Amino acid sequence: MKIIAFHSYKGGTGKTHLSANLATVLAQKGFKTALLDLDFRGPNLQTLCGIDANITINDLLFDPDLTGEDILVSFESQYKIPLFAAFASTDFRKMGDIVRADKKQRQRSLKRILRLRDELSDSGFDYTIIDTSPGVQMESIDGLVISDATCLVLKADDFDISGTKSMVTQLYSLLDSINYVVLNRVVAETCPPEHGVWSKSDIELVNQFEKTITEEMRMRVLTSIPCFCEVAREGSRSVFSLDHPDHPFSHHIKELATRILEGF
Amino acid sequence: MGQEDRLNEKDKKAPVETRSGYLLQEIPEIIAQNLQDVRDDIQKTNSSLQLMLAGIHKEIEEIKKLTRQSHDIFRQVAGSKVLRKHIETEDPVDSLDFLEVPPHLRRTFETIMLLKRATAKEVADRTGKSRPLESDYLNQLADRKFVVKKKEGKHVKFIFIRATEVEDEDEENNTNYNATEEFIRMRKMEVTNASNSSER
Repeated sequence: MKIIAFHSYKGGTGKTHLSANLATVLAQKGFKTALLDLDFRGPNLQTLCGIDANITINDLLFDPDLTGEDILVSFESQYKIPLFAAFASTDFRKMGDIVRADKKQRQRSLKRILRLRDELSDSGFDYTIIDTSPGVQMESIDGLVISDATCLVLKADDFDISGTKSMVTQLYSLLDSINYVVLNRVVAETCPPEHGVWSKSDIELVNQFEKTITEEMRMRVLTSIPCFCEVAREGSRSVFSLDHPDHPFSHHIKELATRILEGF
Repeated sequence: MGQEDRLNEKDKKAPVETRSGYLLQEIPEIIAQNLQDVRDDIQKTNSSLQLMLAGIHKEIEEIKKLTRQSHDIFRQVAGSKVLRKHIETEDPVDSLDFLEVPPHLRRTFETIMLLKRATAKEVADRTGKSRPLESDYLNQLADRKFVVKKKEGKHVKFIFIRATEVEDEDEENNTNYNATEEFIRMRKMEVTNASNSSER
């Protein structure tokens, strides 16, 4: 089983959206895929998937009797693809428990995340996609340490290059994973690109931007996903690739999936 | 009648007083009485000695019982102390500490963290690496004070000492006192040594 984490320095970069869409695309390819929401401080995967989960990953971190089976929600019958997800709680108190956790609880959390990884692997999952909290939150690092690939999501129109660079050089250098940059909501001269394909001049602009990022971060830019009005309009209400598999955005996600899989 | 007969006749008739004031004729009876008294005293002493010995025996049995009980408590306390020390460290590790561990040791690290206590072979069975390699990695983790080595019979167990979980408190304890008798023998020796030194 391979684990892919989506992370960012700041919030609002589209990590959750990209994670859910990548998980969907991998499941559409026939891979048994689990989507884990480790964004305990700002969970919105439940809204995205239209789910009201009874038992969440928060419960698993605090209750040693719970297993992966207890928290995983299956979408197999709903979407006819081998997609499963475990959610972070939206309960204020449970979110508070995560914020208040001392170092002993953080160790327990790490151990339970490691056990969950082993359980998923033993259950025959091919891929696990993790959505993390932005920045250097301990829960995010729990997710990052078990990942085989990390996608640092940058919203092209607004990101703190020095802060991101500092996090990348200090934190990412310690990770065992293959680290990539995914540029999201890229705005070129033609916005959105016609049929989702950049024009020649736009490609030059995007390439130049990717080159700058690669030099600054010393990480490979995996893909640049254009800013699509349809995606923005739909917002966080649904998994876009599921409802619009032929939309250019979904093609970009498929391309992202292909490039990540090639990297393993 | 000769002179001797005459004297005997005289003795029978005239009581003779001894220096202690008893009549000579009474002495055998007194001796017999005294002997009876001595016999009674000895019997009384014997009975009380038997009672005392029975009491002492009972006390010894009671002491043995209490010693066994305190030994069991000692074993439990000593055992759980050792274990609690290993399990409830004040310095647990989290994922940031995990990232400080060199990458080649991380798989071994997380395995021993999850197992808490294992031989190199048990770790190797989990990681899929060879036993000698895992043994080397575990020793490197011991150098970094994440685990301690403990010889248990033929095997060397590696114990994760930065754990927080208290789930396994009923694991076997690590006291050196293997038997109650051995404990009693040692305590006896200590008491003997202590009393000898105080006598000197």
